[in-house]
Amino acid sequence: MPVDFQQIRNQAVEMGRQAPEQMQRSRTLLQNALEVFESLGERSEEVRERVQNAAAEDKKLRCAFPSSEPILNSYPEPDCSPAEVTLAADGSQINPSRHEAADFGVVNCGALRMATEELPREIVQSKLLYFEDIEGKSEEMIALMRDVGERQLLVELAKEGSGSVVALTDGMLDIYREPRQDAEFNRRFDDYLASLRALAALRTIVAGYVDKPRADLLVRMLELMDGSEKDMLVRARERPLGGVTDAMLLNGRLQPGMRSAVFGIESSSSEQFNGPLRLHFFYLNVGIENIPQLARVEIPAWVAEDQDLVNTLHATLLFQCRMTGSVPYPYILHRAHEIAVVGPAEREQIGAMIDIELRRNGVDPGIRSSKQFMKDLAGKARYE
Amino acid sequence: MTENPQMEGKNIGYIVGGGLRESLRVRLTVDPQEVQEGAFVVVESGGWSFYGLVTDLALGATDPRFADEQSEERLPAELAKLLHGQTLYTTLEMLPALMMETGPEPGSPAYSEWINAHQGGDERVLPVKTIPSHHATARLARSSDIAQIFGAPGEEGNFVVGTTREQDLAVCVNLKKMIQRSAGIFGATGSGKSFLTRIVLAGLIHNDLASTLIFDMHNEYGWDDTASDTNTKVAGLRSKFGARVRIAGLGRDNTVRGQNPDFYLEIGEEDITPEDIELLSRTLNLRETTPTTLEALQQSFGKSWFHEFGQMKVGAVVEDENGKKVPAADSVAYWANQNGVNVAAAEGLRSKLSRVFNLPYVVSGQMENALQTIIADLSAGKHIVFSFGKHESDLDYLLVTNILTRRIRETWEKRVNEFRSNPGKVKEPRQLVVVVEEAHKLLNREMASQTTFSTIAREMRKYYVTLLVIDQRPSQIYDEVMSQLGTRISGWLGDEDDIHAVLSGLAGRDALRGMLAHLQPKEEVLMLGWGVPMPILLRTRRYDEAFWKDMLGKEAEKKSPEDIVKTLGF
Amino acid sequence: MMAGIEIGRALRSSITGCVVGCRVSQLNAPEFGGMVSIPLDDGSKIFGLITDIHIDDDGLVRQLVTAENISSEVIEDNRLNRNVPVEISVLFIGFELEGSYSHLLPPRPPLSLLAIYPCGDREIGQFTGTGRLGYLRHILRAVDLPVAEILAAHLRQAGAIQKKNGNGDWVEAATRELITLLRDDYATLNTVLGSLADTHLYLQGGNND
Repeated sequence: MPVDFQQIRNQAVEMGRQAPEQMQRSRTLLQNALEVFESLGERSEEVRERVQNAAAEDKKLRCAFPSSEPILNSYPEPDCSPAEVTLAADGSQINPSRHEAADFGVVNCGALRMATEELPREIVQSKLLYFEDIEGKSEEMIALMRDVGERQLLVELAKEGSGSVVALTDGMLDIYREPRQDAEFNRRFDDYLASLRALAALRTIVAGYVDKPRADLLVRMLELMDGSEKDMLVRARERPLGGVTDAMLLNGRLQPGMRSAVFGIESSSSEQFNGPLRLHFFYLNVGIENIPQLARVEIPAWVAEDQDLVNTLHATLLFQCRMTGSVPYPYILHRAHEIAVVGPAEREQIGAMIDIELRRNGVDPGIRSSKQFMKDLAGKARYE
Repeated sequence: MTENPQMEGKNIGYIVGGGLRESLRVRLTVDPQEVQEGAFVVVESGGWSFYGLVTDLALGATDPRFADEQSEERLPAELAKLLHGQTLYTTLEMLPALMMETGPEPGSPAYSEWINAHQGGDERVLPVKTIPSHHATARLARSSDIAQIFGAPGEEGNFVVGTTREQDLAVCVNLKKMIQRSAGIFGATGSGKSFLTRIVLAGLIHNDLASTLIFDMHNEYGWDDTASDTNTKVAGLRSKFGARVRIAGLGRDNTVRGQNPDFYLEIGEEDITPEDIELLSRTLNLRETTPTTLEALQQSFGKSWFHEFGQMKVGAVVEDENGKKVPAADSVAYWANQNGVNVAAAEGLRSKLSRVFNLPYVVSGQMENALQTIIADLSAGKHIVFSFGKHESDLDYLLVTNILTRRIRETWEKRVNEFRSNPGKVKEPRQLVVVVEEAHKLLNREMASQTTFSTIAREMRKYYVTLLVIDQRPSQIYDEVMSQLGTRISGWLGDEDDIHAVLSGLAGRDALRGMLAHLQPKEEVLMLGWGVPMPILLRTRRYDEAFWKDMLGKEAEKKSPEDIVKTLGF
Repeated sequence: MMAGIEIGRALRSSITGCVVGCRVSQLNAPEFGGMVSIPLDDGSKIFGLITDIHIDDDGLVRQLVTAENISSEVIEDNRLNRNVPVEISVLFIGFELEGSYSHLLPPRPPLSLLAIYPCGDREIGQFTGTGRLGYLRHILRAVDLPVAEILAAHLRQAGAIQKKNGNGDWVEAATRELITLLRDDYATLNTVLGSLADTHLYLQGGNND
């Protein structure tokens, strides 16, 4: 049933009424944040130390810390060419549904390989999960299987050929999950890390692309610095600059095609993502004059520490984003998503296929649950 | 005989509408140029055959834009051609005249049963009373259709007058039936009337169905003639039929085309009646007082009134005792005074009648001998061509034809009455056809009551005498007379009134009016009326050597007139 | 009987026609106006004509055209790798059951996912050669279709085959039938004749290309 629009409307009116005040408040906060940020120009070492100290005391702390690049620096589009080979992988899943007749799941990973003067190549890996595969498995587990699948696909592709290779995935590299006692879960997570290491060994420039970033890693860093070290943890809790995002901070500071300085991520996941895998990031304006569009790019340490690799990544990302014209987004990521994505139509077809096979072997697939049946009654297309 | 064998019986379209009152409408499935106005068309439907004439052709289109647009220019020729017959079509109007039951398939068991029930040829053919169904096929006639309706050429009494225009199929007229009523041959000057007349007369003479008395006003029919336009010899009836045809001349010493007639006729003074004179009113410009004067003359002198009147002199005066000028005893005035007749009227009449008195062929007494010869010849089955020779004026024509015919009519009437009273003892009188040219001079409204001819036209078929009128101004013939005419054969007519006249007395023939104006002069005629089962457009036979060969056989060419006479048993 | 490679599969259908979804590569592209057949499970076969070939854009393609340049790799990627969502509209013109051809509409529409094939010469020859060209009325009845162009394409295809089979007057017979069916509809007949004229079917000696 649709919402009660009358109820909603009243609340929307209230929201509108509060908006100007809220707007004013945001502006003030942003102004404060900018002041703090701009005061940190030469103080990278100081900031690093303070963050370290804070993290030692608060395990849950999650914020940025400066790398060797000065905090306030921004870097224009580099002269170097994009990578010779660009890879992107994405995955999609069909979760088992206890409402369906014959329960199954699917993990579908897709990748696209683009290289200059070559026809881009699509790769798909589709895995059907059934019986033991799905027994007791949560959706999260299947998501992890998917993430692993994506990176493993990239590893395979990265192994071909030589020359500079950029491997992209959508979203953060840090696939944060609740730690489990589950052995299988841990095993799979280790697989994930292993694939990242494999890519490192191949010198593949690995990056995670976050479109429309809402992170406030930099802002939290600013909060620690906005006052004495003594009170920094209090501030971290109370969030004086809460509501301000990194993107807001940097919107006016990055011209089209420019990136911010590289920063490291201080978080609990650094236990697993350690050494060369230690996670870093930078912001990149992929937009055009007067229309800034910031993306956050996550990279492992070995990439962050190599200027050439960062430059190649920078050039490649801009090259890819320009392909999609008015709404910049890496073309290759979009394609990878397209290749991987599965939906209800696929679910139905695969379900039908399984039905036939079960029947062929004398097994009755069972009936759909009533709940699912009712949901499925919604309209079908009519031939016109 | 058929020039276009593929045309015979060819399907030309199908019925799409129309009815009994209007004509039937046929959608043409062939090019319009393949069918002409006047074509004889047959439609078979529901066990009946319908026979009719094409009276109109019209173009049509399912949408006027198809007609307006020159699709031949916009589209390839092959494609544009396909529109004809579909979006662009021709509709034909067919005047249905007759219908006949066709019965079941010949050879099928039902057929012999049906044929026995329907014996008797003519009764099977009926005037049209119903109509064919939609989409019944219309086709051009076959020779069998023509033979069914008009008679087969070989059969007795059937005389071929011409052929159908499309397929050259022979069309006959039943002469015996035709002469049972008065008939007419019409057409504008130069439309070939005299040739047609020669053909019909030849047919009558050859078939020996009646005796003919031909008033040959322009000396065309007796001896050989020369065609004015082609300068070819035109055979005369005498040269072809020999002694069966007798040439009579008017007046002594009257040669016809350099030849002497077989005998000559003179009019006796005592043969002329006052009625004969009254007939000449217009010609002689007589006044209204004429009848009175004539009656007085007859009273005075009886049978010899004409002679006596002729002796009188106009303006003869003598001096009387007193030296006054008084009318002489032999003057008109004298007689007029004596008999209470207006002098001026009498004198005027006498002057005007001088022409008549001076006619060289008017002699004293009576014309008995010549007249009896004529009557005897006609009774014996011979034919008289009465040539006027040099006496070609209207006066001659009117006077002589009327007097002669009146006497002949009287004789025939008497004989028929005798025959009817004593059928066993008295021989049946011979059928007589009186052939009159320039009929409008004798049969116009003014004269209609006065001449013998109108009497013959109205009554005399009972008495075995009918007319064959030849005329180019049928509108001037008294319509009561026209309506008595049975068969009419007409060549091209230009005048609306003439066309109307030819069609008068025949029910609902508006459709044929256009046809008369479109006939090809000298080539085509329309034949219709009583004696003709249905109107039909014909290409007339040519009056040439081939015609005579056909009529008389090959011998006619080679033999001399003497030999012919011998053959005919004279 | 299988005539050639499958063009695609039925997506949705009704009693008068269906829409076929397919993957297209340049070589197999079915032709507008071409005749196709859909074998049904009961052994019968539905015949139809292709009345529309519809290539949709999608979100990505629309974005790509806004970019300043489109590299050749991206173009190739889109042509050869991505599923071009081609939909083919098919108008039913008759069916075949147990060897006999009918120009009536099929008793039942095809179910989803039935395969569609281009018709072979023999099928086209037999279907268009039997009966009285009654199937033409289905084409004329269709609304919102380029009827004139469909007829032109069909007459070319079928005409060439009939001519090869020795029936040189098939084109004329079909044209006559069309004129009969359209003789009260000046506008449509005019358009149809115009497009037929463009086919060069009516040149001297009736050359069909």
